[in-house]
Amino acid sequence: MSQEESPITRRRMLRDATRYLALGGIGSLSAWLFYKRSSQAVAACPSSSSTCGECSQAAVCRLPQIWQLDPNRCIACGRCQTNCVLDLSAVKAVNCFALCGYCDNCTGYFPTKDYVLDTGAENQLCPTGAIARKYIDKQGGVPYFEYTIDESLCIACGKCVVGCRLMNGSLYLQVRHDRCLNCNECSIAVACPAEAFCRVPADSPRLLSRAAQAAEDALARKRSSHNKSSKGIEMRVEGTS
Amino acid sequence: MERSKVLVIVGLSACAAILILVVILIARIASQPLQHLQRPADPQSATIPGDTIALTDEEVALKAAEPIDPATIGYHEIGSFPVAFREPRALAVDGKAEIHVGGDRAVVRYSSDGKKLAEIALQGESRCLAVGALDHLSPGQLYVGMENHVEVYNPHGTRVAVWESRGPKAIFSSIATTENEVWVADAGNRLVWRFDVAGKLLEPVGQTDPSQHRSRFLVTNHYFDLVAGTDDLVYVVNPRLLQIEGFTHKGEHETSWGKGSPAVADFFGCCNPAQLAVLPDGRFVTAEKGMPRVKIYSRDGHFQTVVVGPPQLTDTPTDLATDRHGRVLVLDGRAAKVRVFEKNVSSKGEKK
Amino acid sequence: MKRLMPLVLLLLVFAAVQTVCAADLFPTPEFSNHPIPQSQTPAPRPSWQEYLDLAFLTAALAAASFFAVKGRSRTGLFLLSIVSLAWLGFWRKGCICPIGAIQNVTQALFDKDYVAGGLVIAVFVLPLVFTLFFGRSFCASVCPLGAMQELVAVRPVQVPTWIDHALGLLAYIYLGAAVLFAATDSAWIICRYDPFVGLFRLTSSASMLALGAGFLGVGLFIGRPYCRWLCPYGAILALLSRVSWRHLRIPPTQCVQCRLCEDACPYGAILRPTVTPSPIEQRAARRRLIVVLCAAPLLIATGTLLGFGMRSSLARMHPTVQLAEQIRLEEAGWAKTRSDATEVFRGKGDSVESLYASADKVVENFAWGGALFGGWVGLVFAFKLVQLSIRRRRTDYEPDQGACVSCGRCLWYCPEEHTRQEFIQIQERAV
Repeated sequence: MSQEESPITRRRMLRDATRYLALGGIGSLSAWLFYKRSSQAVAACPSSSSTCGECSQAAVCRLPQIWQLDPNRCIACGRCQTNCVLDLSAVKAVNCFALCGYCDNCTGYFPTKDYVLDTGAENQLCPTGAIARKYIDKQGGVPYFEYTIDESLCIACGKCVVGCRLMNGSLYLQVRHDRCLNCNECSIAVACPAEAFCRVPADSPRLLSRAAQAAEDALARKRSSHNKSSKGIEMRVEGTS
Repeated sequence: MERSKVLVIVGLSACAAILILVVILIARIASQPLQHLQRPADPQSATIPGDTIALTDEEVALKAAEPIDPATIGYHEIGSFPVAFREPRALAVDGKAEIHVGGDRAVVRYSSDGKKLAEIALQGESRCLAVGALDHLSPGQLYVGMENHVEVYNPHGTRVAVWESRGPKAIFSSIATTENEVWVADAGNRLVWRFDVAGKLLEPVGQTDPSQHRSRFLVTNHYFDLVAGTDDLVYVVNPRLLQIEGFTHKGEHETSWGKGSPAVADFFGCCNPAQLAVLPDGRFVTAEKGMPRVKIYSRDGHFQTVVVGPPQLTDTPTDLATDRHGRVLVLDGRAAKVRVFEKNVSSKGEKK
Repeated sequence: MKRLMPLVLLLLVFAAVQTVCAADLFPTPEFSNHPIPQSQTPAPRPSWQEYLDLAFLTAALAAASFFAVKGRSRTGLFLLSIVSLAWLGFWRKGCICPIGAIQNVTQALFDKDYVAGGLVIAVFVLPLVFTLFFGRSFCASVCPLGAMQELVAVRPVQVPTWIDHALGLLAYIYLGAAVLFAATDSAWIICRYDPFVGLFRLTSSASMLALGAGFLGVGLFIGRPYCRWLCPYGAILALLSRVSWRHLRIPPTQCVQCRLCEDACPYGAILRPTVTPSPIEQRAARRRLIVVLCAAPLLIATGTLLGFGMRSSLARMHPTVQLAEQIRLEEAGWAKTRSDATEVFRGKGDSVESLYASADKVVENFAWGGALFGGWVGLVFAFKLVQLSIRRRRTDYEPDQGACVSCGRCLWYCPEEHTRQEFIQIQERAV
């Protein structure tokens, strides 16, 4: 045993040295990664393929990041339906109510060709009947309808989105994070021909089209001014009644 | 086991493994573009191997925005010129056939063949534009509709007046001049403001009934156009009704025309036409969104001919104008250029 | 963070102003007695769950290290692997895992715009550190992929050494390829071709599910096929584990050379004691080592050249190059129809030349990357050959620290361990 002592010690020394060298390497690697993370936590919304080119809405890239699709780039090709790892895609159509025209002859609800204004399933554009249509008002002899999407039925085929784009474009596709598994490499992003998928900060998981953003902003402004003057309106309502 | 044997076999098998790997990799990668190639030429039955999405007829119609029967097209493009705007928004032609384009924070005047003549820098973003016609009180006066107010510039480009703002809700979408008034379409308030040339507010058209919350004009987006006709009426689009309504200079409703259907002679979708202009002979030029097409209607609202449609026109025109020669000018906002269309000689002949 | 707050606010204000200026203004819909509803956005997973995952990972690593090195408990390792499989596999659906995190870290190193999240960095680094100290305890019972294969390895057969050694190189090549494609921002192949993640989610493409099922089927008879021959993270861990501070030992005290453990290991990770070679054999071995050492640079150079030569084929993994190829085909009139991607590209109005230029730039990157990748593959072969040519003297049965995943099967067979556990009474032995 004693004559073997010396090579074993030498080898052990070598091993120890390698181990602590490796440890140092791993340490400095993680230190650099964390440093990069903290130094780029602000204003890192660059135009790389893994992040959005147009994410100025979320100019602050806080972490962690989750997948979202940018409606400004989306062409509603239907690949979201087929490429998600989930059987029923995590992408759903969403209606931006502030942008919706509430039309009776909605091009997102009815096919544009030979359309019959009859809500029978055979007349609907949606293959799963996921769009609910509800009468809400009549103005100038024209009825207004509200369209709400039942996300449990929506399959993210994007047909309504394409149809709606002919008019106001209030329907858009979004990754819904109660369903999304947030895969490390999103398989829809790989298949997306428009490079619309990007990572967004987890605390602002929504990306709106520019028009939808403007409409939501306008509605928010109106609401805040409405709240301010709500007292006056109540009084006026009392006066009129 | 003898080490040498292991060594030889390891070496050989490793070589074999890498060879197989390389072959697999090359085969895989090389086969990728071929998949795209196999997509059939006929879009009606278009399926892409690998990511098969069968397109139904409706979708094809939606995507391709059905091409228009060439027999109905009576105009052809004689040229176009680029405008130096990030986002051009408004187009107007004055009595000298000079072209004014508004957008960003400027209004630029071009000669009729597209040479830049002058530029007026603005404080804010111009959204609509009108030039006083020859019968207007001050011809050549430039009325620039900003988001919620009007700014007036004289023909030399100096600002002569800034009219009062119409409040935060206002979104001015179109402006037109009559003999001694200026009419402004306000998509935000869903009504048409009337001003005299000094900027004094007259009684608006289509005022909302406050107890009813109902508007005269059913506007569902920022497209809300009006134009002064040659017959002393001002024509306002009522988009949700798919109609064009004529008003006297006092604001009384006089006439209306137009109906909705996907047919080429009618207006398509929920809210159209998006843009309106009047030819010197009083006929109407309309531009639709959804199925982008520019069409001509007679003075009493009968469809006459198509100026341009898909695939030559892919987007809703940002604005329309006509010049005194009867040419139709289309502002293409995305491509940032003005396209000029002229009537086909043959169709002229037909008319005769 | 406090320091950054003013900047954050400034940016937010700037962003808000910008959206108001740039976007279209829109008339808000109005109805007499119907308020405009707000479209709801479901919240993503709360961030405290990430900390929970991290805590679980750390605890599981610590427990696995304890069971492997100190507790010497196969049962503990086995039970822990079931818990890990349930938590990281079936509950968290296998994302994010350290194997895939290789790519996040690589891209964070190469892409100045990409930032890896804190959880990702921790998930990548923690098992490395534990391996440096306690061997591949992560593989033993924390990794859900490993756990799955461990559970199905019911009738493992011994794989011939040469197959094992040769296939073992694949993992390093896979690692090199994954790093290459992540560094060039082309694809994350580890995630794309993960055979088990589909099983965790219970949904996937048919081919990936079949691949996963195939791996499990093979895994019935060949222990941990993915871990041994493909797992790129396992390849890193194998390197680190060789120099680990402590490692699972087969006999608790002294080896009695009963050879029982040798047959127990399904992973071929037990090294036999060596016999002293004859002087002729020694000379032959030395000669072989010299030959192999001389061949090593040749191998590396050949690999580099091959990798460099393959740059344009490798670059076709990059989406820009794919798009450029497709456009090229369309421009040449060889493509029957246009694809959606090229339609989008044409819609954007960028010039085709600029696309070709950027594709050429990608290929240029791949010239470097491909050469390095090829060199790496050559290095891997050379390293293996050198390693096989060096003879180390062993007197006892020991685990091969690189290949051993610390599953603890051998412990069940070691009579010394039985003695320690007092399954065998000392007196009986004395008799």
